[in-house]
Amino acid sequence: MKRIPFFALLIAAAAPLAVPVDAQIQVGLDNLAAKAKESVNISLDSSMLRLATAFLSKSDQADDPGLKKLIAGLKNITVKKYTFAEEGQYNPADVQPVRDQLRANGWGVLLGLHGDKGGSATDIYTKSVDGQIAGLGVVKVEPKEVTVVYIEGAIDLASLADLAGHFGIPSLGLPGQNSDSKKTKGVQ
Amino acid sequence: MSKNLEDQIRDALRPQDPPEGFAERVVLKSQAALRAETPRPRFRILWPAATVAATAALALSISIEYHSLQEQWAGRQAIQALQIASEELNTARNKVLNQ
Repeated sequence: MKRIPFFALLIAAAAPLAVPVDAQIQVGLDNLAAKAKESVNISLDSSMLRLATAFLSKSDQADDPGLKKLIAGLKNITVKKYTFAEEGQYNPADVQPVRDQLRANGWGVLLGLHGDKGGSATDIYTKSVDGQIAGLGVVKVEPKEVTVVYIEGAIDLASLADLAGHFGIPSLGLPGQNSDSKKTKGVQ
Repeated sequence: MSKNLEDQIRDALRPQDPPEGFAERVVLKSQAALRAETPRPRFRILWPAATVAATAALALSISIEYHSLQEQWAGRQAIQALQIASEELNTARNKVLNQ
């Protein structure tokens, strides 16, 4: 039960900084794929998200209304995650243009964690429209990993965080995390 | 009398040219008769229609299958993307709470 106040507090703090804008963020970073040991590159526009919603309505995931509701409000999802075999295989500056675009387009910094170890940094951005979260951006760099999440559309951060423990995501067992969310479901 | 009869027979048996267009009329009549007698091959009409119907059914089936695969692919991609996003949110939250 601590999750909602946690994110609500952060959102409230970031809201005055947010400016409603509709500019599309270009994540790029495709040059990192060649150097990475593993990479995930997902890009779904609104038409693909409609297909995803249709799939979820028909499949076994239909018993999780939260997931369908979460996807139904989205306009665009871009996720890029690169895992490298060794440190120093990418330049952290490669990610800077994403941060710059988010800031330039009025996205507010919800959370910034920097310099905990070996150049690790995590920035969580949100776009706010009429007091509602209308976008989420995550830029995380670690010595051997780069992750960028860019989600456009009405999104409930608490519901998104609650997905942990579903669909094979291991639950982190965080304080306040709903025990129901610890169940796992395999993705078909 | 016998000479008159002989002349009549000779006249009757004398080769004569057919009237103009006789050969063409004969050919046309024989062709018409042949067409009337030969049963119309139904498959000549049915085959193109059957081919069009089969092609349309195949195209529809492929289209439905492709759409279904697209839905499946999009659904799995969306789940994976949200998994990663959820994971990152929880990791960040965990770090904050542990600080």
